[in-house]
This record gives sequence, C-alpha cells and structure tokens, in this order.
Amino acid sequence: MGEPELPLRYPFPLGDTGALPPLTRWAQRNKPVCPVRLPSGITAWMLTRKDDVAQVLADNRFSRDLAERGSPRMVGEDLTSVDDAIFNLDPPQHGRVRQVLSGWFTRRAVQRHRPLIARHADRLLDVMADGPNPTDLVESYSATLPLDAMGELMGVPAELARECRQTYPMSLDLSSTPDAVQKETDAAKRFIAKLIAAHRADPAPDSPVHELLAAASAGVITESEMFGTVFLVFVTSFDPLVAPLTTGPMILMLHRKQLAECLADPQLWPKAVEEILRYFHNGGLGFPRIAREDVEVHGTMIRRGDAVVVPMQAVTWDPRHYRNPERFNIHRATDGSATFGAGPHYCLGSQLARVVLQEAISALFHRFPTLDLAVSERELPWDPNRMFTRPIQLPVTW
Amino acid sequence: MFTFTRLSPATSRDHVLVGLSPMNGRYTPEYIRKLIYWLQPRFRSIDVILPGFEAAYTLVAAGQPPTQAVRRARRACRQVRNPAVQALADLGVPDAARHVTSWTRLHANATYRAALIHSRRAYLTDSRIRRACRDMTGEVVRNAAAGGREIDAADIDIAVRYVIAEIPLFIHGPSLFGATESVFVYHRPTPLVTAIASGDCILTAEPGQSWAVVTEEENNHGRTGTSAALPVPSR
Ligand code: HEM
Repeated sequence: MGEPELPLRYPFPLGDTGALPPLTRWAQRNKPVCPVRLPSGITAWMLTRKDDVAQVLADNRFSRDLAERGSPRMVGEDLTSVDDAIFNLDPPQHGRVRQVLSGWFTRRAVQRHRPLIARHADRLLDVMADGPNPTDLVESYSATLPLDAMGELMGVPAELARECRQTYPMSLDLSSTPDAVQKETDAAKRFIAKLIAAHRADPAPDSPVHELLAAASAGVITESEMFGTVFLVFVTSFDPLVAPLTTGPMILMLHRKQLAECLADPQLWPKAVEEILRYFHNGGLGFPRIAREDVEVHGTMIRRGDAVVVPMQAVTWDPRHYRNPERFNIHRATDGSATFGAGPHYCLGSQLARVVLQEAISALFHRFPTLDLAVSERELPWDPNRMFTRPIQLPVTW
Repeated sequence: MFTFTRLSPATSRDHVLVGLSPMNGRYTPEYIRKLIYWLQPRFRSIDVILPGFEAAYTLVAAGQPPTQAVRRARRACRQVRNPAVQALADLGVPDAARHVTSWTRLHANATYRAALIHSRRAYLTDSRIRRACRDMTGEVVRNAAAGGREIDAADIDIAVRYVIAEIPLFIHGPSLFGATESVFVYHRPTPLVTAIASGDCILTAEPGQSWAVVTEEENNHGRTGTSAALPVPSR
C-alpha cells in the first residue's frame, strides 16, 4: 500500500476475515510510533511492535488514570470514565485493589468452573439442535453463552437477569455520539448499583463481587474502588468473550484440517484456543494511557499529557516474534498470552477466558462435527465501528 | 425493453436498489444483464441486493435436508451475483463488486440491524404485516416443494425469516445506501411493499423511500423498443 496520510484515522478498515488491518501493518513496518486520530477528535500515539508495547505498558511514566473529565477518550465518557475502577488505577493503589481479586482469578482457581461452563454450553447446544438449521451462531450461542454462564458465575440474581441482558454486551460503538456513550455507561452504572444492593441483601459467596464487597467492609478498598471495579469486571465478563466465541468457530470452520485434528485429539483444543487468541484481538485499539512526563520512543518524543494507544493484534502479529503471523496454525510453539496485554494491568481474566473458550468451542464442535459456514466468508458482516471486532452474524449449518 | 411502474408518487432518479431472487427462474444471467443495463443509466447510483443465509429456509421448509438446502442456496446466489457484478463492471461502475451485496453482509450496518429488530416486532404485532409475510412465504415454499408436499405452519414459521430480513430494504434504502432518495425495484408488487406503501401499517418508510415494479416487455420483432422514458406512475 502507498504512504497513508497522517494522522491515521481510527477506526481503520478491517483486514480480510479478521486479519490485521492493512494500516496497522503499515504502521508496524514504517511508523512504530504513529499518530492516530480517534473518533473523539484527539490524536494519540499508536505503538505496534511487541517490544515497545511490553516496555511502555510496564512503564510507570504512563498513567492509566482516565477517570477525570477531559481525559482522552475513544468517543465519549465510556467505561474508562468510571471512578476508581481497577482499569483506571495506577500503582500503588492499583496493586491493592488487584490483590483483592487475584486469588479468585488464578489459573488453578478458575479450573473448577469448567463444569458450569460445559453445562450452559450443552443446554444452549440442545436448543440449537432443536431449532432452525441454518442458524446465526452469534445469536444461538456466542453471544448467549457468556450472558448465561458468566451471569451465573458472577452471581447475577434471577430478578436482575433481564436487565443484565439489556445492558450487556454493551455496544461500545465507535460511530456513536458522546451522548449515547454517556447514556450507555450510565445505564450500566444503574445496573451495577442494583446488583451490589442485591448482593448486600443476599450475599453470593465465591464470586468476585463478594470478594470486593468483603474487602470494602474490611476497609481494604474504598466504596468507590469497590463500585468501579465491580462495574469493570462486569463489562469484561461479557463483551470480550463474544468476539472469540464467534471468530474462533469461524476460523476453525475455514481450516477444516486443523479442526479435524482437534476432534480426533481433544488435547489439541487448548492449542487451538491459544492460536485463536493470537490470531484475533477483539479489542481494536485498546483504551488510552497518558504520559506523565516526556518520554522518547524510537526517536519520537511523546510529550507529557499525550495519549498512547495499543492495538493488541499488532503485538500478536509482530513478525519479529511470530513467524508468518497471517497463517492460522494451532501447532505454533508460541501461545496467545500477548493478546491479554502486559505490565500491571495484564488481563485479570486471561485464565478464565481460556477456560470458557476451551469448554465452549470444544463442546460446539463435538456436538456438531460437520458445522460449516452457511454463506461465503466474503459475505460475513464485520463492523469496523464495534470495539470488539467480530462478524456481527455467523450463519452456520450442520 | 422494460416497463417501469412506480408504486408511489416519487419520481426521483437518485438511487435504485434492485432486488434479485436467486430461486426465481426469471433471474437468468441474461435477464439480470439486460435489467441492469436498462436501469443503471437511469439513476445516479445503483445497488443490487441478494438474500442472506435465510434463503436456504425456503428449501428447508420445502423438505430438503439443511446442508443440501444451504449448498443450493449458496450456488443460486453465486449464479445471480456474478452476472450482476459483471454487468456493473461492464457499465463502468467503479468497484462493481461492492455494489452487489447480500443482506447478511448488511448486518455490518447499524441501521440495518436496528430496522431488523423493528421488522421482527412489526411481524409479531401487526396482523396485516404478519399475514403478508406468511402469505408470501407460503407461496415461495409451495413453489419450491417437490411433489405436492404439504406445507404446515411450522414450516412457515422458519421460512418466514427470509421475508422479515428483507423488510429493512423496503423502508431504509436511503440511509442503508447513503442516498437522499432511493427506489426499490422488483419484478412484481408484493403484498408487503403494498402494505408499507399504503402507509396504514406499523412500518413506515423513511423519507425518500419509494418502490417500483419493472417488467420485461415481450418483443416479438427481435428489436429493442425505442422508448427510454419512464412510464407514468401507477397512481
Ligand atoms: C479473550 C478475552 C479477553 C481478552 C482478549 C482480554 C484482554 C484484556 C486486555 C488487553 C487487558 C489490558 C488492558 C490494558 O492494559 O489496557 C485486559 C484487562 C482486564 N481484563 Fe481482560 N480480556 C479478556 C477477557 C476477560 C475476562 C473474561 C475477564 C473477567 C471476567 C477479564 C477481566 C479483565 C480485567 C479485570 C482487566 C483489568 C485488569 C487491571 O486493570 O488490572 N478479561 N483484558
């Protein structure tokens, strides 16, 4: 491609079938610190090389405190505007809050949730088997499973289940107006307030909400840290799972030989999930960080107050670390870890996400081994304005 | 030579949306080519719309196994898509393939998604819309069913999704295709479009939306007729 005009304008046109957007690849090759205009109108620096990203995300000179009004935003007052959410905290405050949750989310601790995920998956697949064929997998499975399974895991009481479904997944639409974004955030805050009240009245032990409430009562974290962090854990429980539950089955149906290997040897499902995580990153650009002081990266001066953004898919497609990144190959020696970020804000749910994806995707294909796309892949609808990148509909038949 | 009959008083030549029915024998490559050659010069811009994956439901309801139905529907879509793209390309329309799209692909568009939710609701709540959708579905399913197979209400329940998914194209042409005004063109008036055009149902078209029927005139002399004028609107 030719030399694009700078700053680049986000959102970028997507790559074919979810591949790295051509503009991101261009920046990675030619402009490792690249100015990008966000829909909100602000210009941020975009980093696209794995080593740079690892370094900057672990560097305390870049702050995550975006709760203040006037902070750089993608569009408007989104989830990063919520006070004292774990996402928005800098060390040492961040570490204190994260400590409250880390035990619940460890690799070991989340394994016990496999039966719960499998139970919800089986139930939805029963319904799908009895329903129309072909069907839209997003509606039948990929968007429904997180709501049902994570809803139970996070302790959503029956009387709030309906409102939960209306609130999540959030649209996080980049073509939206600041006003609409603010409304969406406010609606989620109202839901979270009701959820917290319900948990106080009738505690649901063994959930992240419970851990946060207990820590707030014990004075380990503030009321506001508790609220903000419950808010954030809820967004992350649904939205980021729908995309890989859609793109994962899609890419496996497009690579039937590798799918057949997984069906023949179920030990391979975790490998397949790692490659799905590496191949797609669903969060587009990721939310901004702000330089607290002037920092030079690759000869470009990032000034104090400037925003920095990272498209995680660029990291997992960095050819210096992943050979032929455009090739989907479940037998790679590398895993999908880098899709979950780096530094202190490294995804808390990374091990839980893996458990959900492994259980859900293997259950889907063991139930429907012949599952296949019902339209040409060229016809799949990708909306570049959705923060969590995926086909909006995935027609399948079996 | 075609006859173009407006179903509403609008006279705009801004944008035309051509609906193609892959499962209807009329839409041969030759017919598609002639139709597009005839329409394209008469409008500022043109788009061609094909059914989404729901096209297979017609064949499933008619008794075919789902995978076979999907395979056939996909093949039928390809067979109308290719001549449409070729015709636009030959006419010099830039990026011709982008102007031939299925409504599965239109799900990328937030307006389509919102309109589809609205259309499903209209089907559930407005008896006139519901009847029009079910009648149209019954007709195409019966045509597709082999050897007089009985079609029951459950078959229609599934196949009707096809018709419902098409509704947004009848009412939101201008915003879906970035035009000020848009006319939806099909080979015959359907009860659904008639209901929407009449203005007394729950579905209202956005400003700038209109409809027309285009039919091929018999030409026994093997010569092309002379008139390029649009015939008088039907009312
Ligand atoms: C495949 C799915 C997921 C992906 C790709 C993903 C990715 C990420 C990334 C890249 C970050 C870091 C953001 C940054 O530093 O700017 C993050 C943070 C986070 N994620 Fe995930 N995530 C996923 C699923 C989940 C799930 C299921 C949960 C929990 C239920 C979760 C909880 C969190 C939390 C709490 C944070 C903030 C951590 C902190 O600020 O310390 N994530 N995630």
